[in-house]
Amino acid sequence: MAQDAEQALMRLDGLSAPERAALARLAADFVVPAGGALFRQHDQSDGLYLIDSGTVAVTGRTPGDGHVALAQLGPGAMLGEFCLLDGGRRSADALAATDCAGWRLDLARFAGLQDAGDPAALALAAALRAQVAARSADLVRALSPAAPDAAAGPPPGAGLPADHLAARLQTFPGFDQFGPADWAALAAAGHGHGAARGQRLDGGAPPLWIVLRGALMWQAADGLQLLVHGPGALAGSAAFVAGQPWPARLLVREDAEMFALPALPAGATGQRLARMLGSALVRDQRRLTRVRARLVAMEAA
Amino acid sequence: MCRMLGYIGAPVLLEHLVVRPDNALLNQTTDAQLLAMLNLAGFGLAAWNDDLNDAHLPLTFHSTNVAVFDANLRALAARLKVRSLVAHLRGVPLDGSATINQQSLHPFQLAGSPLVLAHNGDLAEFGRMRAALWPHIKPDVAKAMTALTDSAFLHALVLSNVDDPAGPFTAEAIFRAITATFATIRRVRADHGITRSSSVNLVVSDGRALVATRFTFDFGRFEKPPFQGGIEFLSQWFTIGDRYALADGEWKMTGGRGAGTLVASEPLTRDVSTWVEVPEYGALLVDSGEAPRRRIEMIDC
Repeated sequence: MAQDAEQALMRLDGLSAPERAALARLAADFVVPAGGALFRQHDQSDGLYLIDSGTVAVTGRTPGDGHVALAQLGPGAMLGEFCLLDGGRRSADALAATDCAGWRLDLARFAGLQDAGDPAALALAAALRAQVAARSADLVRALSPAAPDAAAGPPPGAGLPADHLAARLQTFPGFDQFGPADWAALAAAGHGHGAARGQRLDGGAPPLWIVLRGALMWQAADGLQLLVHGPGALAGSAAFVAGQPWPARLLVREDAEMFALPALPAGATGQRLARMLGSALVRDQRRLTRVRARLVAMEAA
Repeated sequence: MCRMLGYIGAPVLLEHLVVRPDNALLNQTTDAQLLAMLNLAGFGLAAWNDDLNDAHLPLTFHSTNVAVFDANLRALAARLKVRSLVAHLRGVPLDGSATINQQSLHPFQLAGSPLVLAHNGDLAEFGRMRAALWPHIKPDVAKAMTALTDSAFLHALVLSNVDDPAGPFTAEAIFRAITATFATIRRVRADHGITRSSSVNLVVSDGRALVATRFTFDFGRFEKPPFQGGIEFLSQWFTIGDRYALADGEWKMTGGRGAGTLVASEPLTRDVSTWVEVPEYGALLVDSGEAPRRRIEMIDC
C-alpha cells in the first residue's frame, strides 16, 4: 500500500498524531475487485472505509429503482462515516469502479472505545461531525443555490430551571438517559426561548436548538422545505457544528418553546449531547438526501 | 394511529401489496416498522378493477377481524387484481375507549360516490368539535353517514367540499376539498381553544385521481407526550414506477417513466431505498391515465 491508515486519517482535521496512531490500530485492510461492492444501501453498517487505491462510485437509489450518482472517490478519501455517528444502515451503494484497497475502521471496536470515553474515538467522532456538517451545507446549496436573506437572529433568551427542562424532555430518546446532574449542567449551559409561528431564528452565531414544544422548520431561499424539527429534536446541528450559518432560513413552524445552547456543556453531559448531535446530523443528512431523491424522481417522471 | 396505503397504476395482484412484501400491510398489524403500536381494530379496502360491474365505483371490503389472521381477506387478495386501491389497517388505543365496529372502518365511502378516504392520525378532543362541524356537512352527505368518528367526519367534510360527490374528480379538486376541510377544522379548533397536536394523514381517491396528505395541526404542541403522532410527524411515503413486482428478490416499483404510484404510511419493504417521503405539511397529487401527472403541493392552513 502507498501509505498506511494513520496517514490516511491525516485528512481529518482535529486529530493529533497519537490519536491517529490509536485509531489506526483499529483499522483492518480491505481489498475489493472492480465491480464488487464495499457496501450497498440499506446494509447494516460495519465501519468507516479509508481508500488507499482505486476508485469507488457512490450512488443512491431512487423511486422506480433508478440510481443517482453521488460521488466518485479516490485515494485518500473516506466513506461510510455516518455509521460511526449513528450505527445506522448504509445510505448509499459504494461500488468499486476499479480494483480498490484500503482500510476499514471497525464500528463495533470504535463504539466500544467511544463508550469508554477514549480521547481518540471522541476526537474522531468530532472530526466526522464536522465533515457531515460541511456536506450537509453543500447538499442544501445543491438543492437551492440561492442564498437566504440576512436575519437579525433571535432575541435574547432567559434561564430555564433544570426541573422544567427535565419535565419537557425526559421522555425523548437520548434525554431519557439524563440524570439530575445532566439536567443541572444543561440548564446552566443555555437559555430558554418562546417564539410565535413565522419568527426567524437564524442569524448571528448559531446555537444548538433543542425543541421543547412546537416545531421549527428549515426552509431554502426559494421556499423549498428542507427539515421540520419537533419536540425532543436537536435543530440547527450542522450550523452549530460548523460555527457558521447554514444556507437556509430557520423558522418557527408552530408556536414553540426552545432551549438554546451556545456551546456543549463540559463533562459527561457534553459527551452525551455530542453523541446525540452526531445522530441528529446523520438523521438530518439522510432526510435531506431523501428530499433530493424526491425532487429527482418527480422531475424524471 | 393506523396504517394505510394507496395505489394507482398497472393492475397488480392485491396480495402483492397487502400480503407478500416483508413489510406488507397485513404484517403491520403487529409489526409496523415506523409505529410503536398494534393495529388490531380491523381492516378495510376499496379496490378498482375495470372488469367490475359499475367499474367507477370501488369494490369494498371491511372486517373487524384482526387483519393478519383474516383468511377471507387472504383468499380475496390471492385472486383479485386491482388497478387502484386504498387500504387501511385500523389501530386504536388499547384502553377500551374506541368503538370497534364495521361502520368505523376505513376507507369511508358513501353510497353512489366513488370518493373514499382513509385516515392515519386523530383529531384531539374531537367530541368537543363535533357539534360545530355538523353545519359544514351537506344534508345529503350527513344523511348517508353511518359513523360519528373523527375520520368519518373528515370524509363527510371532504365530500361536502366537492361540486358533486358522484364525481368524476381531478386530484386538484380533491386537494381543494381537503384544504377547505382543514381550514374548517382549523377554525373550529381555534373557536374551542384546542391546540393539541392532531395528525391528519389522508389517502383520498376515486380510483382515477389520488391525494395523499401528510399534515398535523399544531405539530409538537401538547403538555404531556400523548402518543407517537403527537411527538413525531407521522410518516407518509411514496414510490413511483411503471410496474410493482418482485424483482431481484425485492418487492419494488421498477421502470423510470413512472405510470404507477404507491403511497403508504410506511414502506412496504424494510429496505426503504426506493421510497421517499411526502414532505411534512405537504400532499402528493396524482392524476392517473396514459400520461399520469404527479406533483407535490404544500398545505397552508
